[in-house]
Amino acid sequence: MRALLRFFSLRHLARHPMRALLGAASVALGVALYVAIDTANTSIAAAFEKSVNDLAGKAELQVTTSEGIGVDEAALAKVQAVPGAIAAPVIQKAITFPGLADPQVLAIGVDFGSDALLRMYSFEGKPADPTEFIAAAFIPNAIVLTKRYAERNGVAKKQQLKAATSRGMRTLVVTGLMEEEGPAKAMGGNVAIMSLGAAQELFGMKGRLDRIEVAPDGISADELTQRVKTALGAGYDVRRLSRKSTAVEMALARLRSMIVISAIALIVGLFIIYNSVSISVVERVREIGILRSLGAKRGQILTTVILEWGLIGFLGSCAGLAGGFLLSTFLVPRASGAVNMFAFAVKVDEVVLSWSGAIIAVLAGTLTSAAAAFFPGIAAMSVTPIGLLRQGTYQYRQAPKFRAAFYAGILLLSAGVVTLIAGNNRLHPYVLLAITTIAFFAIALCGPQCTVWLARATRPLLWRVFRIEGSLAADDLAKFPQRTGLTVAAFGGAISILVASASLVESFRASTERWMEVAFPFDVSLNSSDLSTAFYSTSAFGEDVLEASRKVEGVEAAYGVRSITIPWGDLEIMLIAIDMPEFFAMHRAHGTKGGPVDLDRPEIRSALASGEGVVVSENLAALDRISPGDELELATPAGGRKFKVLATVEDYSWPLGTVCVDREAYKRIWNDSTLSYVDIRLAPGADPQKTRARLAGELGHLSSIFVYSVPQLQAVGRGFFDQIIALTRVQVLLALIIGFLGIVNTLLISVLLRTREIGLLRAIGASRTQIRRSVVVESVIIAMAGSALGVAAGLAGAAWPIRLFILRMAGFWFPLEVPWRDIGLALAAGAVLGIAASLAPARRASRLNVLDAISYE
Amino acid sequence: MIRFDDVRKIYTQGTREVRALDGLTLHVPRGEFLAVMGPSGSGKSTFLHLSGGLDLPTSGGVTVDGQSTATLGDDGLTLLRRRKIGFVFQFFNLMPTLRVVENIALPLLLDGNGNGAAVPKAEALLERVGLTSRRDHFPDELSGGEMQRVAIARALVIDPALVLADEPTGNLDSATGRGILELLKEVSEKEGRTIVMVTHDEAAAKWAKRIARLRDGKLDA
Repeated sequence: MRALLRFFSLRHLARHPMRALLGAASVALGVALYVAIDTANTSIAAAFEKSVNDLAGKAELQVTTSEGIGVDEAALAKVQAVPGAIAAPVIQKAITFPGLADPQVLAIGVDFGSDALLRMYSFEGKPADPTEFIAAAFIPNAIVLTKRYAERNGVAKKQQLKAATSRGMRTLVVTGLMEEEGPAKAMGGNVAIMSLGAAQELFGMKGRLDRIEVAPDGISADELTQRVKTALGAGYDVRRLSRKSTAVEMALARLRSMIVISAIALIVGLFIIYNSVSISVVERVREIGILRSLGAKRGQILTTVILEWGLIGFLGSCAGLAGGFLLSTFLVPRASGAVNMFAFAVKVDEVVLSWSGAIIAVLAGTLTSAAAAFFPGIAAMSVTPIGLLRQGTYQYRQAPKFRAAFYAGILLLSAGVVTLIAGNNRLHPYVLLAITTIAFFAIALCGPQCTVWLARATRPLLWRVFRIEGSLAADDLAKFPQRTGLTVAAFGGAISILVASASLVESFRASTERWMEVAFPFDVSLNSSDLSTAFYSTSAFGEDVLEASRKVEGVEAAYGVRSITIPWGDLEIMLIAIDMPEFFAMHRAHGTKGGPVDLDRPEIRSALASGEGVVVSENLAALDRISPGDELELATPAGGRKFKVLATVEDYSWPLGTVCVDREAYKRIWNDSTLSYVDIRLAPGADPQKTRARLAGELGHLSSIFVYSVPQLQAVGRGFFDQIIALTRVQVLLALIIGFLGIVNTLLISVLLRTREIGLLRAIGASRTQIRRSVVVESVIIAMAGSALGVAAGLAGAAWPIRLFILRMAGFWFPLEVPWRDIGLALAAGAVLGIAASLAPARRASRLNVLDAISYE
Repeated sequence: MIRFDDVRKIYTQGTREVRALDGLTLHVPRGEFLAVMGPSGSGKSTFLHLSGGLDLPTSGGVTVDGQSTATLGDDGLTLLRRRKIGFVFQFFNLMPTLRVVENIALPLLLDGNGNGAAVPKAEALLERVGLTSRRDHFPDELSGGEMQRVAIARALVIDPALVLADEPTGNLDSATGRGILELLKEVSEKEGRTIVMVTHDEAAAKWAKRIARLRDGKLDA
């Protein structure tokens, strides 16, 4: 076997390095994409988990109400009085130091006395008298940074820093530095602590806390939970410290949803290798014959072929592993950036390769290659060398086989469709992934017969346009329908990734734009937080801001909105409370068509006002199969409460979905009258700039207020959207490279197989230009057929399995848009890639030595 | 029709030089049926390739129909082959993807003719070689003799001044071979075309008007 590998396999590979390289590259790309996604996923998850653990210290429980409202400070004493409980108050918010290179920091307000029982802090220089140090460091407008963060950003002790907080720009002085221990290790060192009082003042949370963290002292966590619940009574949420973040989970789900693309990329690689192995077997038919006559068994030769391509797959996978790791360094900052737009939750300062993922990827790449080699290897072993020598004509006689494969493909596709219908949108994401994968195999099975039909159908047209070169190209396509069909499927796979991605991006973009169009009936929005820091904030201002804003000159109408996140299973959904009468009135004045206006009906208005009913977003409805008329249980300070679902609306405020209530009802049920923002319609003729300036000036004394125009809000939304689709562009690029490699591979094989024919054509008078044109036409037909297939498959995939996959994985659900511009681009890219891929093979074909070619036998 | 003046053709095989033709001088007048014989390595095929403009001499002059092949360049040689030379190969070399009639019409199609001009001419030749019933068959559905008839028809479709045949009967049984040789002789005698046929077979060579014997790249006196 070693001799066979050495003399039969390795020498053959050495003679055809380009083919081996193309095979390895196609596997490498699929593996790279998988490894990049897996590594980014692992790195973000690991960084988040580490930060959570570092921040938690010994704490095991957390006491909250609903996030955003905060816990009344009075509850702290009750929890501290519970026997077996060590409790500490926490305020945790993101702040930004605009002047620094790495501006975002998680600021934690703590009562150092109680917090030191839960978490280990170590300060720079190990102060001889900690009490004195704490008294000096934890003062109003003071902050203690980590030493690592300070060094990274060139900050020194006693330095004053401008900080953008939810209450505007504040100046904070650095009163100390923390060594790398406990919470200081979290978030890559982007952590700061300050006194509880300073944090309450800084974030406008006088008398309130974000949460109380509790550690058991000599009792079990379950026992502790019971005791704390009993001590606090109703209205509090006592649960194990959250190890999950909706923002992180959603970002990871989005990343994982890209696995579908890497699976398709691997299948495309499989097709490319299949073609390469087929030709390498045909080329060596004489050698196989000789080896067989010298006593080599069929099995030995088959094993050698499989090992040979398994080795290529392994080497390609290893290269893909390295490439994927590099690619993940591009993905990680973008994915974690998208997380932090929701909430500052993760800081990845180390990209961690998941060894299990790496092993899976290398195994998948190697086995894919070996599997791709298996079938042509088996076919070669089961046919006599003479039969293989006559393969050009042999394949014509396989027409019934192609028809059978076509019917099998149609059957598989139908089975996929039936499964999708029967699954009724509840299929597991991996079942959807499997359906997508099988659909590609089914298309590949249909490929040869479709190629025959395509060649027959296009031959007259090609003759008319390109004369003899065109019909020769069509004949060559039909000559090897299996190879052509697989290449069309491979290129179609690449284009389908492009079209599906573009379609999903366009759908999401169009839906978001449409939603922003109807969701913003106002001219100006007053926000309690700086949207450049985070898209979502839990900060709030009082109702006095709403009342005062209505009196500002130039303001015609205003309504208030409170948005908070509430628990939903392990994760969170967004609850949005709106002053409904004013909201509907503003929409009427704005002339909004559709969307929220459809809800402006007496029965819905009264059900919302009474607090009996809610409106849910379409993505939540789709994700959890909620329909109007259903009942929905939401967490309230008084415990779970059932609401009737009145209607569903298109809303993209929060990835897992939103529930909309009337703010008057919200105030009664959630005991919260604060506002997250106030939306304002300007009076006719009012100057927008001046009115915004007046709003900022006249309301600034009430609270920290950020004033945004609608275009500014839309820009923030688009910025977030761009962050998400940056990942998609990487997939599209890789997909196109894979498709390109597929065509180059096929054409090189085609030229190789046609060496004799090309020589003959040259001998009887075909010019080099005619030969070149024939190869280019063939390539463009493959590319265009692949593009057409890709457009159809991409749209079908985006419309169904991939959209469902994304819904199940990431919670996004939106009406599908056909990306005409991108389809045009895909077709143009197909033609350009087809021509580009043909250049080297066409050159090779036209430069064939005629004598060498016709004496090839 | 063909003039070889002191033609040398030297190939390099590894570090070794092989003199395929070594100062060959030979004239083939228009309308002659010449058989070229000689043992393996004598230079027969090289002579044929140089005559067909498929290769160029290392030194000396090759003139075909009054044109020096050395001065024609690739495009000129392509046109020479396309319009003036018909090739018949030992292994037939038909395009497997084309039907019989298309194979015959191929040289005309390559020259830019439409089906309207090329197909009737191909059909006429098909009738002449007795294969009208095989018009729409693919090459792999024909016997060896039939394939060679198609190859001859293809060679004749351009009305060539010169037909170069490389072992045209080498792959056929003797009865079928005889039919092919009759056809070539008829083409030479009735149509006045120059035929150069390379062969190993003495019996086949006797069909020619003249036999040139090569040995070690030279005419064997």
